[in-house]
Amino acid sequence: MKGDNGQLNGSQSEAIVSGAAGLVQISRRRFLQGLGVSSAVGAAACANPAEQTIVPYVKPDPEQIPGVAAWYSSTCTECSAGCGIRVRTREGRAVKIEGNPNSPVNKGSLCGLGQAALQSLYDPDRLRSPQKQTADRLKQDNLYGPTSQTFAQVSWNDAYIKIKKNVDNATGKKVLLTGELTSAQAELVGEFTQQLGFSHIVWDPTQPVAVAKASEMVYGSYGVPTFSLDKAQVVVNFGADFLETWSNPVGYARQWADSRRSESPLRFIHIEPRLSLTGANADMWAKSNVGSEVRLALFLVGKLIERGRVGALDSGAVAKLTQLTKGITAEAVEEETGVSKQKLLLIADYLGESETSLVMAGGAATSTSDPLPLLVAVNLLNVMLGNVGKTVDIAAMKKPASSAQQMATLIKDMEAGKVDVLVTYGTNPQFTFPSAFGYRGASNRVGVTGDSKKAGLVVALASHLDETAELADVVLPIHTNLEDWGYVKLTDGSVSLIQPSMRPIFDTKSFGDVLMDIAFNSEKPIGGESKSFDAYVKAGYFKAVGTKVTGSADEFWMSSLEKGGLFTSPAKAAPASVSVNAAAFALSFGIESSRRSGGELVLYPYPSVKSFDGRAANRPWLQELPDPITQAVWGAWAEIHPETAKSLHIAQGDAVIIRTDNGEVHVPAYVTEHVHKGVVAVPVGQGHSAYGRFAKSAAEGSGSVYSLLPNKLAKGADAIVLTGTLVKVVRAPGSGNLVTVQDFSSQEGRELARTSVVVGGAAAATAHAHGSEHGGHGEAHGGGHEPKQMYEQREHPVYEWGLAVDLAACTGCSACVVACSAENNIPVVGKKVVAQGREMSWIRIERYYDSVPTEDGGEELKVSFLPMMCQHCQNAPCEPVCPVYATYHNEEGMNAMIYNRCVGTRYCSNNCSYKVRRFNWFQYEWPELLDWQVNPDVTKRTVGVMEKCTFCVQRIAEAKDVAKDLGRMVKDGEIKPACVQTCPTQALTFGNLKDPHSKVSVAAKSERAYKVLDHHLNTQPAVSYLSDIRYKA
Amino acid sequence: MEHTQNQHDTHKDAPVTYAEVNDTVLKMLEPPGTGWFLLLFTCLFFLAIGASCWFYQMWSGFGESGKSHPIGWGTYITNFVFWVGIAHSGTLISAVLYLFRAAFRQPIYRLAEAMTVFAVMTAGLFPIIHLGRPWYALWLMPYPNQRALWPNFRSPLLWDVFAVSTYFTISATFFFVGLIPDIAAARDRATTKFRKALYGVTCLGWRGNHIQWKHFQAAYLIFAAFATPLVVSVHSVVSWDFAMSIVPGWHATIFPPYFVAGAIFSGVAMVITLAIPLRKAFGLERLITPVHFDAMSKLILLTSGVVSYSYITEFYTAWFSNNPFERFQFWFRPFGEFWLAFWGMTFCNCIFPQLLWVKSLRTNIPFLFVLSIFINIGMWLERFNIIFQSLTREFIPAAWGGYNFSWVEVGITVGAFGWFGMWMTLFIKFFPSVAITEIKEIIPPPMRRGGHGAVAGHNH
Repeated sequence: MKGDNGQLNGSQSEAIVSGAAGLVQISRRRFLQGLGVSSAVGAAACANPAEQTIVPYVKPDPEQIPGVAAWYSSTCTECSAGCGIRVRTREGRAVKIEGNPNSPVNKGSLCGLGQAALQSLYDPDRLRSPQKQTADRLKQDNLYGPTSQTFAQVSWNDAYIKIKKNVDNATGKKVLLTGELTSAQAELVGEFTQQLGFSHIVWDPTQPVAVAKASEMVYGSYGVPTFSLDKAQVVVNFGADFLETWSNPVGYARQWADSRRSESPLRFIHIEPRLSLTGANADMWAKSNVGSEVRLALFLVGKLIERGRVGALDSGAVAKLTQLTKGITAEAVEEETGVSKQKLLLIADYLGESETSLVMAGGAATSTSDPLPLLVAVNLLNVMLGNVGKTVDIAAMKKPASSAQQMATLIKDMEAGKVDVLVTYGTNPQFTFPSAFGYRGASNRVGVTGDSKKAGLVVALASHLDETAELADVVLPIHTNLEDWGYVKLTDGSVSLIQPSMRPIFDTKSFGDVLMDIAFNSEKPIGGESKSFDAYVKAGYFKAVGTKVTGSADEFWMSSLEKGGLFTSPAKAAPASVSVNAAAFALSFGIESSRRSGGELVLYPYPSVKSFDGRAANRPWLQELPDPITQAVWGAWAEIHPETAKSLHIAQGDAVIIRTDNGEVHVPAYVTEHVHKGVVAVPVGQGHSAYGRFAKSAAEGSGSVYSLLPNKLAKGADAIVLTGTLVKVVRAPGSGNLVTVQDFSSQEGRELARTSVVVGGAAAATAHAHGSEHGGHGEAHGGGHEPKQMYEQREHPVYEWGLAVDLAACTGCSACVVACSAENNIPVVGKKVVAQGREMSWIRIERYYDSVPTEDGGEELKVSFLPMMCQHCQNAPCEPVCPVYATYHNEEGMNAMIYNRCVGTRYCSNNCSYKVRRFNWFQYEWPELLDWQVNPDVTKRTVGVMEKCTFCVQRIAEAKDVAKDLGRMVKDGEIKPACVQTCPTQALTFGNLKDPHSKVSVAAKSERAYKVLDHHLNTQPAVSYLSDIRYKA
Repeated sequence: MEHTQNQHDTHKDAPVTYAEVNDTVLKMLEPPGTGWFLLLFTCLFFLAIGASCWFYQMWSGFGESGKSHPIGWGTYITNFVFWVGIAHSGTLISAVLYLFRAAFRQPIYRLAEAMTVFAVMTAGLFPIIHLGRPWYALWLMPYPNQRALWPNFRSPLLWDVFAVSTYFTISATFFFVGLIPDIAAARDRATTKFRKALYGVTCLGWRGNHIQWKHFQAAYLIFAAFATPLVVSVHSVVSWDFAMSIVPGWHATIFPPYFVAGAIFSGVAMVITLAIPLRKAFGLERLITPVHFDAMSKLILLTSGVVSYSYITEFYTAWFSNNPFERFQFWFRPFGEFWLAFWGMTFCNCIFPQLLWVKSLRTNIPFLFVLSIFINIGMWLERFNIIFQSLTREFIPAAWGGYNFSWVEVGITVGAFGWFGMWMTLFIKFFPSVAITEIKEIIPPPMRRGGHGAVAGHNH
């Protein structure tokens, strides 16, 4: 990311100049938008770079104090969870996104994806103005061949005229194809489709539509239930990656962690062919054959019937189930699923004996060609166990609108020339809908009959020129979520508001405004009284909250904007009556006969925290974020079992080709035992051919996993078939360019990440350090030992900052890594530099594979995640070796680093036992626009100096300033370093160790507390770790 | 070299005379031939490569070297320790052996001293080359400044600054003092204006009277006594760069003696490497004789033994300490990913030199030349093993990593040899590389009846 400095500065200053010009040429609508973001005007650029007038602040904006951040509450729209966010702005620019503590969904935390939305706003490849396709898509393309799009800038007016002409003259179908919409957008779309005769189709591959369908069959209503993991004693999970991307990952991670560190932690069993991050956090991971999970679920059903735990099921249903489960013995299921009989019986016992439990299914395991039997069986298990109304809330259901069936029909219609106008927004079917269906060809046939083109038009409303937008005739640039208005109605009745956090950077418009404009131009106005989308949102918000308005409307509105919406405490889930649809029992609960022929593997695509379904692929933070399991960065990989790899002559890092009749994907091999032998697991979302420079460079022309999929839909569910495609995997010549940041997975008995093993009952009371059997130093954990000191101990007169990391709560999700990058201006260095071992991240999530003993003397895989950042040692090995005092110990117990003084001997890094120091091997620069995200409170470092975690010293200084003004000490919990702030599970605690009652002091004195390597080296870190808790499986 | 013949070749068995010493040595200073220029330009070419690589590294970023996250030190510090090690034998041979009156030192000590000075000059470059911000290298100096900033005297790197700069000052002074009478001899024979001026100034008005000789001897003795402890101290300090850290494989009390022995070992080998071609090129066979090579071989045998013993001690200590990190490190060196470097070092430094127990091999010049090259490689590998292997496998397995050798590092390493070679090449043409005065001390003095002129014509 080395950029041309001079050029960069030039364009930046130009942007500032033209931004100031925007201040005086403000339109009415802009002014209304600006009201909520009134501080944003200063630094934002407007569309006309030719303006050269500089207008200073004659009257400074009262909201804007130079050097003081302004925060705007909003709602994250990256996934469907609806987390509340707070956007920190400085001098009119958004610089960081954090979770909104008021939101009941995420309670102040935020995942990496949500935080990286900032890099969508500042994406250097964003669409900056309306564009039109210059080439005739019919001539250029031969209808189905690869396209080479060329775009030319047009004015909004010209674009609107063209759209109006086509919309008014269309004789065929008019289709609005979107991704998941916010509630406000959805309401407006409802009016739009009605007024203009459009049909609306939603395509979002991440929505668990099969889960919703199975709910309908068993619980009686379509939707994804809300789960309460914290109320369950046992959680049996069939593949739902609820700690990563599934449904509501931040909320579920919090619930999971709250339980795990409580007196009676939940026991967690994960069943999946591949070790996902969620599976890695389980007490027991059962590696199952792909598609066989339904047999395991049925086995559990049978065992529950044996125990007589049938819950609310009537006798007829029980009889049907008894019939269905007949002959499903442990031995047979062991054979079918590959899960040992012993484990099967254990799972059955855990479930059978638990008072409250929860059975979940989702993710890649339920993206098979026939997902319903498993999901129905899982729902039946919940009914039998009496979980419905306790841990499964079917009153608060999220109703996914995505429809693969409608997509498939749409493609057929487009191919047949029946569609005259296609408007796309917020979805990328050309990438995420299996290309075997032929979206590309169909898109080019919009408005085409035979070989002649009518007045067909494809309009893409997009922020980025992705694969779908590339196919459009007209592309209209749309605000990102951080520039837009809206609200999201949450399942618990809360309404979470979306407000812009800064002025639009480019000549873009809100999706809602574009719809209103199109409708207005066609003389069929929508939006009622509202003349613009922001007014529509305000009106809609008042309608949504109904009678809950307090005070005057203006006051209520302002306080809602401040808080982020209106949040109601969730109603207690009422026990619900369940009526099982007879069709549920008519499903075929068998597994498809083994279809593997020679050399074929089963494709297991899964969404990852790095790329999700592909929407996050152009964000450098996420591309460079090491995958928590594989530790790989930039691009995709294929996880293959060592035995399979051996038979295919594939070694770690080799280039492999995954091939089906529909396409092929070139990725590096990641050989790991933690995937089923018959499976090749690949993260989806990589392999873009458009979308932006980072997505494309990460793809390296690899091709997308979606291109491998067949053109068929899942049986009974309105979804595509992701899992279970048969593929051929062959070794390709050369290296696959696999780059991982951690190549060694064993702790070598060094007790870095420790585990306390519990056998039932209260965890904390019986916890003991498992590590003791490795090196004989286990007794040294805790703060009990006082080694002899050669020198006087340092005095910390007022504060002594410290951090505690609860490994029982850490899931390894890596949200902290993204938060740290965002807060501390940590450069993204690119794949090549990471391959040289020069990544810059100040915090890394170390991942270790160990084993814990099982009750019968066997061993169970134990995956440990160890967040490692500067330990701020009292006896810091880095300090005495620096010849120029560039690193030293300050009186608040922190290991400080003076960048200016550093000459770059790297002696400190050599001597750091934790290897947390990072050296600036090159001068790293962000490309233009991404440099807007830089946090002005943190120094950017230059080439040749060392850097490392500072405990977010800028936040400490800020809090101390505030405390000083108020004449008091800093309060406990007042300072939250970026990692602590964002952690979805609150695994991190920061505070003053001098104060014996501070949370961090209490944690550091916990029975589970230990310090990494301290018993060997006497480094006396300020960071304490609390050992992980595992049930003896 | 054009000058391979000399007038004394015809009577090999005749004792070396004062005149012959003067003739042989000063003949080396005669105008150079194409061979010398070829050598000089080769060195300059290598130096140019190294300099370009360094400037490229500064311009593009330190990342152009092969260092990575766990491996903060690599080729450059290896080179630094290697060249400091080379620099050791010079002082040892000239000062320590002088104090011990070891006669075999006389014909080779000048060469060894020159090598010392130039090797320190080479070594001193590397800590600067290796800095992330070399333009701030002066911050390591305790100079008064308005910012009231002072270096950290607890850092072994700072000790290095003093150790190396002191060593350079003393060895250069000692070297120069020893040169004075010989420069005067060269002055007396100088023909060109440049040389007359050069020697006239640098001989400091030496006329060879007995008062001057008295002062010279006293000064030389004092400098020898002064330089002797430095032989021990400099490389001890360099070893503390490692020993004072907590890196497994570095943190060892045996490092100072181990490093000093290794330095002498490598230094003597380097003297042999340089002496053999020089002797051949300038016909010094009658001055540097097999007797001297035999003595140096014995020194190599001794130091090889000490070095081997140190290796064994390292392994023993690692095992005995029961420190899991040390144990892992010393398992990793012979059996890990980079076993070749370890076993290469063991062969070059411990096994191959054992052949010197055979007397005939100790005076076998081609064999010694090959052996000395192997020892040089072996000692480079030793430093490489210590620095590099230790850093790849430290405490946290998640942070273990590798190295990416780059052509920039290779270029700078080659450039260092060019730099060193350039000084050596210039030196042998401009100053007497064999100590005329001291050789005369060990050969029979000319009798009066043997010819008055033999004495009168020279300074001694």
